[in-house]
Amino acid sequence: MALVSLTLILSSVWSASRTSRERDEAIDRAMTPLIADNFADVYDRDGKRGLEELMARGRGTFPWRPFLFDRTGHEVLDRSVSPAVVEAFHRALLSRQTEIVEQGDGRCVGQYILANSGTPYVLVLEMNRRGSGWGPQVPSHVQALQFLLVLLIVGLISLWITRHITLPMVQLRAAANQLARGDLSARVRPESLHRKDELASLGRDFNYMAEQIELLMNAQRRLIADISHELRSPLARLSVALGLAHRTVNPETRASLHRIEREAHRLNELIGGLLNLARLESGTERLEQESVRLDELVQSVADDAAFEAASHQRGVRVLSTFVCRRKGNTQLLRSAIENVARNAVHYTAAGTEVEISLHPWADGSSAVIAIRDHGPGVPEAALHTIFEPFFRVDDARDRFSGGAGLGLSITDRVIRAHGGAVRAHNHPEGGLVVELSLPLA
Amino acid sequence: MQKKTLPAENSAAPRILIIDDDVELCELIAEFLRPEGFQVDAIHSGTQGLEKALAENYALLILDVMLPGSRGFEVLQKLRVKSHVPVIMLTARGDEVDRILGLEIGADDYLPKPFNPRELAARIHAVLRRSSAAAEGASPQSIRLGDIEFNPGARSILRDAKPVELTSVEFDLLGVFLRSPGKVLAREELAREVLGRDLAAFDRSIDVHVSNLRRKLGALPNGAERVKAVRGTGYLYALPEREKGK
Repeated sequence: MALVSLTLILSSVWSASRTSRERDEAIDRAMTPLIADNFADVYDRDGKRGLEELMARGRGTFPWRPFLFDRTGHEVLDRSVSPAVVEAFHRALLSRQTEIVEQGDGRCVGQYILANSGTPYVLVLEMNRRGSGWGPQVPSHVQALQFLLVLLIVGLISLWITRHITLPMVQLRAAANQLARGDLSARVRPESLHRKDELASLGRDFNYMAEQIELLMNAQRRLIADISHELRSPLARLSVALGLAHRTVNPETRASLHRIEREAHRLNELIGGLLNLARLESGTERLEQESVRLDELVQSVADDAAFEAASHQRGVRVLSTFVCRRKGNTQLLRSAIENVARNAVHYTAAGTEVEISLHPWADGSSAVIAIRDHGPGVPEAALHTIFEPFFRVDDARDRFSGGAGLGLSITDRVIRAHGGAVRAHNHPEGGLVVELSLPLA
Repeated sequence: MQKKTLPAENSAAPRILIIDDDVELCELIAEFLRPEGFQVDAIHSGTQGLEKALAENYALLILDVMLPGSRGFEVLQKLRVKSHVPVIMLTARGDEVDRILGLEIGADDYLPKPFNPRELAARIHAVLRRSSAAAEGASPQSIRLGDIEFNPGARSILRDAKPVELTSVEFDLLGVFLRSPGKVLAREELAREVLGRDLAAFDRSIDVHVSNLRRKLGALPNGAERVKAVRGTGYLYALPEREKGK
């Protein structure tokens, strides 16, 4: 906005000065020949006396000093002349026309003329002031006033442009940013929409778009919730039915029941994982953010995993940690870390401990959570694909793994959504190391 | 499986009301719970469930928070205005918000669907044990500590002489804290004493109850934290007189 105003002011001043100069020049070329004609004839006819009388009469009327030269360069009244006057004389003599020579604050106009007798003369008018020598001079304080007036008008125009164009655009940008950050209620304010122009149409279109996005997101959330409910109801009934069956079976059938239970459990985990994935993909979860203490989160996950590991003769230990925090979704980050930890607990050999560490990276600009297990590791070629949904290291369905291969892909998506990255490599002394790196904003 | 003994004064089978729109599930649960020694009724709408719960005398309610129409939470809220009957919520697995909200409004415990019915039975026993112990007035004497006045007889709490609304579980939890101030209490210990059961893996109910309690009571008068989390172990209720600079 400031740039526009400045440009407008500068260009108007510049064009104003240009115009006056062009106008002066035009008048010079029109008037000087006539004056020169008059002076030359008077001198030619009446000599010095006649010229002096003519000059005395004209003195004070025009703000220029006339100098009449004959063909040899001699000022007929023997007066001393400034170099600019001399130059104007020479130029006019050479070109036989009107010549204008700029001189500091003023100018000299030289005119070659033939008197009625045919004798050539050159008249030079010396003007000492900027601006027209012909008309009444605009006094400088009026000029200043004119300038201020121009400034005022330009200022008002800028203000109008700002109010009517820039401000609505700023509002639109603010609403767009708000929407992008997750506030689905972001709209352009109705006051800006009462005009009848393209900006108002743009604002209305934006509001319509935001409305549609809000409807879609809400519909998606509801759908996920509904699917969750619908898929889990049969499972809930199944679980209670299994509980009932357990009471009446004999030991032989008990084993089959356990198997059924395990499958039901797996189905449940699968549903949970799929729904989490769906929620992540739809972006609806990304919206709730807060300041998360990563060290506390890691410890909490480690504690829970340790509890679970203990019942399988395995352990979990936090090797190193440091205080750090970043903005993010606590629930999602917890799931991300938990999935890797539980995976590690499942694969680590009996009697071993899963080692978790949280350490700074790249001069403290990011934090890395490393989880190492003492399991069989993963073939080198497959290291980057373990983070894809449903990936399995080997084709045999491992009955102990339970998680059906969705956990790591959820981790991957969550960490990436937080601007980080996940990677895995085999520890030189055996086992898999999964590293989650997160920039500390 | 060992049978838990029911409170002596209530020799008739405790009456349980299930409010859940899944008809078949209610039948299955009822079939499972009856041999456990419970009398089970089932209602499939929230509004009717609320009416029945308030009209008749039940020892415990099982409430599905995912009820259509009059959602589970609304029923719970309206119920709590008039009744302190123990409630176990059935929630969707993985729905943290629901769990926290439900416990805050005043449910005594929760169980995500799908669940093992034996787990449900265990929790019902635990909740009933707790409420009958409270009814018998297990520790009748009031406790005064710092700005808190704890009255188990009237089941009321005063903070700076102003009453504070706590759920039944929060009340019991505060009682446990006030009886051992300045001492670290393990989460497992708290769960057994307050919820009457063991904590499952990744079970955060105790943490939710503590968090709600902290929020409702606020900080100590000197600005220090009232309940401190001890990493890896549990919680500690701060002694108000001594200011510990941690």
